[in-house]
Amino acid sequence: MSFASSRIALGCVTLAALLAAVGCGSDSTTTPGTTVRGFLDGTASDAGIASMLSSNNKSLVLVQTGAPSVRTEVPFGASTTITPTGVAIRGTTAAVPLGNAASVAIVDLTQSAVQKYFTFASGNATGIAWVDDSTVIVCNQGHAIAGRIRTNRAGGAITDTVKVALFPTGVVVNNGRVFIISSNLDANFTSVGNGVVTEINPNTMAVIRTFSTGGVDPQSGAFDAAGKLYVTNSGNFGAFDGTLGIINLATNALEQTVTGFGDFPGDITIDAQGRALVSSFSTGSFIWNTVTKTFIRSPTNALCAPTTAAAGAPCRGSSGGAFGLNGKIYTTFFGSASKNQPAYMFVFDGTTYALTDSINVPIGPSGLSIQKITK
Amino acid sequence: MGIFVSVPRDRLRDTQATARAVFRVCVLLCVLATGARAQFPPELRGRVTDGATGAPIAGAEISVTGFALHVVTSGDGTFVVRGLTPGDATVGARRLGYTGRPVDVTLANGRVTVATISLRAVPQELARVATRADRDGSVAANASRVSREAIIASGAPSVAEVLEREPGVVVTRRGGPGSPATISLRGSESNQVLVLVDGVPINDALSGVADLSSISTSAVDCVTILRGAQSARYGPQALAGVVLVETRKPDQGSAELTQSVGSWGEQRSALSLGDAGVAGGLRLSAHADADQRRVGSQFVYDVPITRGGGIAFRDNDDSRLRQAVAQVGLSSTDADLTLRTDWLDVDRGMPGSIVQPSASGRQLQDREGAALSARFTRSEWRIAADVQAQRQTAQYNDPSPPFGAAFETRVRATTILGGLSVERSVGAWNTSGGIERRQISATGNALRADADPTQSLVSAWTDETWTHSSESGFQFELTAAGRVDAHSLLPAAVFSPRVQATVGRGPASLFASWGKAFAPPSLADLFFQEGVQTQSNPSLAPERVNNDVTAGVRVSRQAFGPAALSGDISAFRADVQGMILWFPDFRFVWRPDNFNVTRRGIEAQVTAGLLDDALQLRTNATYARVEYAGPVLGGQVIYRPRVSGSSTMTARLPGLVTLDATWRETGERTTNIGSVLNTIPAFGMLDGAVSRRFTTRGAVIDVRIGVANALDTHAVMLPDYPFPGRGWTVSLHVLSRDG
Repeated sequence: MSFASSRIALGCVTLAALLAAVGCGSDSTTTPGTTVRGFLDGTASDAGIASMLSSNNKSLVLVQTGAPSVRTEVPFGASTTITPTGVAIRGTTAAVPLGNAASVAIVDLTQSAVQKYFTFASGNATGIAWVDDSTVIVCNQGHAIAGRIRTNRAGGAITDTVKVALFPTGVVVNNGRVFIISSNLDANFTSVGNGVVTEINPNTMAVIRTFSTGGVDPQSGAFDAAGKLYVTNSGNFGAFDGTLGIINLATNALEQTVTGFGDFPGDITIDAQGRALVSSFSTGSFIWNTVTKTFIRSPTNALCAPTTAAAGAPCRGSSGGAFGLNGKIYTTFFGSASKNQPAYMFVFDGTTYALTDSINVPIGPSGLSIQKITK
Repeated sequence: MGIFVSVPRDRLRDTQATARAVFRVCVLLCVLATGARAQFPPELRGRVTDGATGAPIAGAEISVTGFALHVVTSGDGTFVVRGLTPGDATVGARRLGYTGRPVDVTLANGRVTVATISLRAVPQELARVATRADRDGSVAANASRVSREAIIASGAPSVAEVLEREPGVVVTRRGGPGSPATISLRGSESNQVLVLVDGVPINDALSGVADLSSISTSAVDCVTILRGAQSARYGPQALAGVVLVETRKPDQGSAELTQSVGSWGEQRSALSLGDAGVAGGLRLSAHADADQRRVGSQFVYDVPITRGGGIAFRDNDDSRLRQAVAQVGLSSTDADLTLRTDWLDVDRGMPGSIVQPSASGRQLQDREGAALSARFTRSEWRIAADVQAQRQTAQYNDPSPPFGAAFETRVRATTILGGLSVERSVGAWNTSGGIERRQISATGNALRADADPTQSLVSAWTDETWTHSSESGFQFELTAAGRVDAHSLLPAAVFSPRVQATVGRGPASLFASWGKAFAPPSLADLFFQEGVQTQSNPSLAPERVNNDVTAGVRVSRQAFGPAALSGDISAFRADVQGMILWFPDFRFVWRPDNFNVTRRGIEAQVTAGLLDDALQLRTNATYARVEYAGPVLGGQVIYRPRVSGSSTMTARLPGLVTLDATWRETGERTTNIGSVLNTIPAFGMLDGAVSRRFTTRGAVIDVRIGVANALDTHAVMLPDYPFPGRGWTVSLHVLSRDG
C-alpha cells in the first residue's frame, strides 16, 4: 500500500503516522511480467514453451517445458469481465481473446506485455486462430459472428465480421482455409441441434459452406496430416455421450461420428503420428489413433493423475493437453477450490503414458499448447 | 443557490407555523377524544461537563434517586429524563475516569427542571465501562456511535456515507452517489453484518446483504456499530458485527427541513415534523419524516484500455429514493407505547459493468413496515415487548442486456418479528433476558421450486453484567451473554456465547472479549434459481466464528494544556469456518461453497482537540488480514483492503463558520486468489465542506457547501464500477427552535 506523496493532505499524513505507530505493515507487491532473458528460447535440450491461460489470474502463463520452474505471466487486468480461455501464438506474438470483455489482446511475448487491443462492440470474444502473420480470426459467441483482425494496425474496433452458426467457440485454420466451430447453443446455453462448422473466406469474410459436426456442443478441432478435421462433440455434461466428428475437407462432408468419447471431451490436438490427445474435465485425457481409428488410451483407461495416492483413486480431470517437443505428453488440471485441489500441469511419458511429473500452475489453466517460439 | 430562492426564511417559518398549528390541533383533538386532563409529569434536563475544562462529557450515566434509569448523555453532554414523579430527588452522573457530587433537585408537575453536573477527571468512583457506544467515535474499540448532530454536520444523505468514516468499516459502492452500498466489517462478507433499523433487520431476504444507501439519514437519530461476533445478543448474521440504526423517537424534534442540490443532478428534500402534548398524566407525541432523493447520471469515467481507452459518460446510473417514517408515542410515568410505520420506494438504473454497460437494466424496490413497541418500568424492573412486520418487494429486470438473455427477477419477502425482554438492575448486577420469534416468507422467480418459502427463527437470550469499583480506584465490569437460536435452515439449534471483561483505572481501561457467532446460508446460496453459469448449493453449512477474540486499550479524553486527546486501539482475531464464497468451476459455472478464512487485525483511532475543540482531528486506521486458509486458496481474500482509514479535521471559526476536511484511504485489493497480479491500486479521497450557522428567533439554519473527491481521483472500489470524480453539494438545514 502506498500513500501517494503527490497527494498531500493533512489527514493522509496523520493516518500514515498512526499506521506507523501501531506497526501496521504494508502489502508487498511484485511487478508482474518481467521477461527472463532468453526465456522464449527454452532450454538447450528442449525449446518447447508451454502456453496456457489462467482463468483465476486472468493471465497468460508461459512455462519452459525443459525447465518448468522458469516461467512468465502476462496479466490482462482486474475486470471480472476478462475471462480468457484460449490463445493463439505466431512468432513472438500471442493473440488472446478476453471473453466477456469482448476484446482481443495482442501480446508481445518478447516484452511479456500487451501491445494493443481490438474490440467488438459488445458480446464476447472466444476462439481465435492466426491465418497469416498479420491476420487473426476471432469468434464472438454472443452475436454468433467471426471477426477479422489485422494485427499490424494500431488496434481499435473489429468491424470486419461475418455471421456464423450459433455460439462459436473455436477457430481452426488449415492451408489458408478457415473453419469456425459453433456449439449451436441458444442464449440460455441450451443446445438447439448438432454442432456446426462454418467455413469462411478470410479475405472477403463471407461464408463458404457449413458442416455438421455429428454431435452436440462441439468444443474444439484439430487436423491430421491428411487434412481431415476432427471435432470433439462434448455432448451433455454427465451423460458420457461425447463423440468425435470427422470432417473430410476433400469431399467437404462429415465422414464419420465416433462414439465412446466419454464425458464432455474438450480440447483436441493431433501429433505427427496421428495420435489425437483429447481432454475431458471428468475423466482425464485419452488418446485415439486417427490412423487405426482405435483408442490407445480410452476414457476408461485415461492418462491418469489420481486425486490421492490410494489405489483405485479417481483420476483428475483435464482442461487441456499438448504433445511436447521433447516427446512427452502434457495435460492441465483445472484445480478445484471447493475440494482444495491445486492446479497442475502433469507430465506423462510419451510412450508408456506413465505419470512422470507434476508442475504447479495458477488456478484454472486452459488452452494448453506447446510450441517453439520462432523469432 | 436556488435553494435560497425557493425557500425564503419568512416563508419557511410560515410553512412551519402552519404545519405545527395543524399538528397541534390534531393532538388536541386526540387528547379531547380520550377525555384526558392535561398534566405534564416532571421533566429533568441537564448537562454534564468536565469541571476542569468545561468540556461536555458524553456517555455519562444519569441516575435519579428512586428511579431505575438507563439514560446516558449525548455527544454534547446533555440529557433528558421524562416520566418522573414530583418531589425532591438527587441526580448523579457516572462516567469512567470521572467522579463528582450528585445534585439535589426538586421535581414538579408541569415543570422542566434543569440540572448541571460537574465531574472531575480522577480515578475514583467511576462508571461502568461497557461496549455501549457513548459519543461520536467510540467508547470501546469494538463499538462506536454516530449521533444525529454528527450526521447532520456531515451532510450525509444515507447511512452509507455515515459509516464509511468509522474504523473497521469498508463501504462498497457500485458507482455513483445513488448506487447500492454494502458494508464489510473487519474484512467480512456483507451478509455477515446484521443491519437493524429500530430492531428490524433490513438485510435482503434473498442475499442477506443490506443496502445502506436505502436508509436515508433524515429520520435517523443515531447509528451504532458493534464490531465482532454479536450473535450472543443479535442472533444469526451478527457474525462480524451489527449496525444499529435508531430512528428518532416520537418526542424528539419538532420541525426540520433539509434541502440540497449537487453534481450529477442530485436533489434532496427532507422534512420532519413532530410535536407533543400532555393530558391526564399521559404524554402524547407524534413525529413524521419524509425524504426524497434523486440523482442523475452521466458522470465521466475512464474507459478501460481493454475496451479501447478514452473517456465515456456513465448512463443509466440514475436513482430515485423516497422514504417516509411516521411515529406516534404515548408515555406515562412508567410506560411507553410507540407505533411506528415506514415506507421506502427505490427506482434506480443498473448500469452494469463499464466494460459491457447496460442501458436498460433497472432495480425497483419497495418496503413497508409497522412496529408496535411497549416499555414498562417498575422499580428496578424494565420490560419491553415488540411486534414488527415488514414487507419488501424487489425487482431486477433488463429487457435488453448487453449479453445473455433478457431477465426479470422478482422477490417478495414478508418478515414478522415478536420479542419480549426483561431487565433488572440491582446493585452491581444488571440482568436481562428475552425471547424472539422471527418468520420470513420469501417468494419469487429467483428461487428454485424446492426452496422452502418460509424461514423461522426462535431464540432465547440472556445477558448478565456485573460492575464494581474498588477502593484502590479500579473499576471492573464483567459481562456474560448467551443466546440459543433455532433456525429452520439449520439442522440443530445454535448456542452463541459471549464474555467480556473490562478493567479501568484513571483514564485508561483494558478490555477483552470472546464470543461465537454464526450466519446461516442465504436463500440465494441455497436455492438460487439455476441459470446460465450459476448453480446453488443446498448442502451448504452455516458460516461460523468459533473464537472471536478482541482485546484493547482505551484512553478517555485527557487534557494537556490547550489540547485534549482520547483514543483506543484493539486487536482482533476471528477466523471464519466455512465462509460462503462463490467460485467458478471448470465449466465456468459459479457455485457457492464453504471455505475457511483466517481473519485478524488491528483497529485504532485517536481524537484530538485544540483550544476547547475549536480545532478537532479524528483519525482512525484499520489493518485487516483476511486470508484464505488451505493449500489451494491463499493470500488476502479478494476485494478486501488490508489497510483502510480516514482522518477528519474540523475547525470551528469565529462567526459560526465550520470547516471540515476528510481524507479517506482504501488500501490495494487483490482480485485473483493467491496472486498479486491485477491488483486494484490503493486510493485516497479528500472531501471538504464549509458550513455557516445562522440563528434566528425561531430557527437554527445551517448552510453547507461540500466538495466530494476534491482531488478528482479516478478510482474504483470494485473493478468495472468507477466512482465519479469531483462533485459538489449545497445544502440547507433548518431546525425549528422548538426542536
